[in-house]
Amino acid sequence: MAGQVAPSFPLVASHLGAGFGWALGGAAGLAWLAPVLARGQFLDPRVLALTHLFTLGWLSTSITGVLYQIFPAMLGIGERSRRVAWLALGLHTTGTALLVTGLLAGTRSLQSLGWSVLFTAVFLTAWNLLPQRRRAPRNRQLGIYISYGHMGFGFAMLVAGARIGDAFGWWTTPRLGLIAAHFQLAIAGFVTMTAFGMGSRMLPMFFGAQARLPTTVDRWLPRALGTGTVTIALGLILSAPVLSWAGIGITVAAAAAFLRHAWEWFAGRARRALDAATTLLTIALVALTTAVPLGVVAAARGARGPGWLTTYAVTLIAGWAGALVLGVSYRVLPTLTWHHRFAARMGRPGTPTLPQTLSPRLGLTAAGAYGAGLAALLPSLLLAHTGGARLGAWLMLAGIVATCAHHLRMFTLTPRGQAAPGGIA
Amino acid sequence: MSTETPIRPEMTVGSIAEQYPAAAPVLARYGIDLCCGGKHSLEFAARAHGVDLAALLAELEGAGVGR
Repeated sequence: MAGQVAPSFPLVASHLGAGFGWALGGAAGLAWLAPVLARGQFLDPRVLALTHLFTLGWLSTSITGVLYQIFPAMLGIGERSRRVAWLALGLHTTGTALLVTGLLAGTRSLQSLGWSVLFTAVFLTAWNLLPQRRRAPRNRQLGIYISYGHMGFGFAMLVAGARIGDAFGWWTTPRLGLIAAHFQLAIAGFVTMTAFGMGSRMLPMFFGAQARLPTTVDRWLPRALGTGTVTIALGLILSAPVLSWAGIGITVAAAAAFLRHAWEWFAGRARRALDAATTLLTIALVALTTAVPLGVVAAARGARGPGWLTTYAVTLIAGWAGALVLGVSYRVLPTLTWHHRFAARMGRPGTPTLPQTLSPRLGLTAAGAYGAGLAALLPSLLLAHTGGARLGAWLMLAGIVATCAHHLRMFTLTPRGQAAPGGIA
Repeated sequence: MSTETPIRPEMTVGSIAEQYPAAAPVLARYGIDLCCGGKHSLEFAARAHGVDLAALLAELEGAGVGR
């Protein structure tokens, strides 16, 4: 079983499917809690539960699914054990459900149980994938981003464990500093680190740009982002602003370097008209570009500016990472689904081509709704406008629902000659 | 099939993308990418996307691929 080199359709699709399940729940929760967020109450237990529904449920499950795709596709080497991959998915899903329920109900025992199950799941995924990068025949640098990303995930979980220990009264920790460090390690250390690695390969490919990330930038980018993120976290935990600001400087430089090249890929794109995938990827880049100055202002204002903190967090989670995951799903899932369902039938009458399994109109509607939702939500959070925040959240939910409908359609298409309702005739 | 580009239909999409960066925009215009590792031949990818192989090869040649 070790080192399988073909991406597993059931494994990748199950991760992305589970991720979409969490995304639907998260977006519905966002529509419910948008007024609470607009009032800047980011420490409300419901908001903490919702945040983990997005980050652990949607983003991390989907990213893991994409990793099981790109390890064989880009590094040329598969996971060590497919059984362990399935076990980790089950544990990750269970752990997320327990943790979110524990946060919502304020039950420490559920939170700690969820944390333990999640820690096991993350460890198993790391065991299953990370050692493989050393044996990869190509793209080993991508493996470094992914390894650093999982280190960020591990650090974020350790900080969360420290918070849970504090809640049990085992020790005392600075609450706000630890929460901020946990967020930064999770979103910059894990999500953005992994996204920079995958994005530096996928974005030029999806945009059809000839340019690539220069080798020197590719080498120092993960090191700079990792150093910056850990320095910020240490500064927050130790209440040492000098450390935090040094880390912010390094992180901003890393993000600016990535964005500079990403916008070049966008400008040099092969198709001027954007499809659903490239629209969402562009939205993700706009969100990251916006999040950088927002984060600097939020850090300067600290707890005195809850609106800035909330807007910064939502811009990164739902804007940058959410749109990126949605955009990538419009490329990875159709390709995998078509190969799984139709490649063996190619050439036979009635078998659809890959583009025929897509619905460009539905995809663009979904991307437009998601983007419009963000455009309404983010300024409303900053201006404490509850109506605008709620409208934005509903539009984002509509975008995710439409994306799910688009992807489900691919699974239910039936070749002509196998008459079934909803066929592609 | 005769062609003046060094790209042959039986070459994999992955090897084309690796050897000829100028091919990337042409392949992207047809929605052909390396999502599945690029292990399929150009001919297979063209049929999967419903693209005329001769036209694709001509466009690759027009883009100066391999010159």
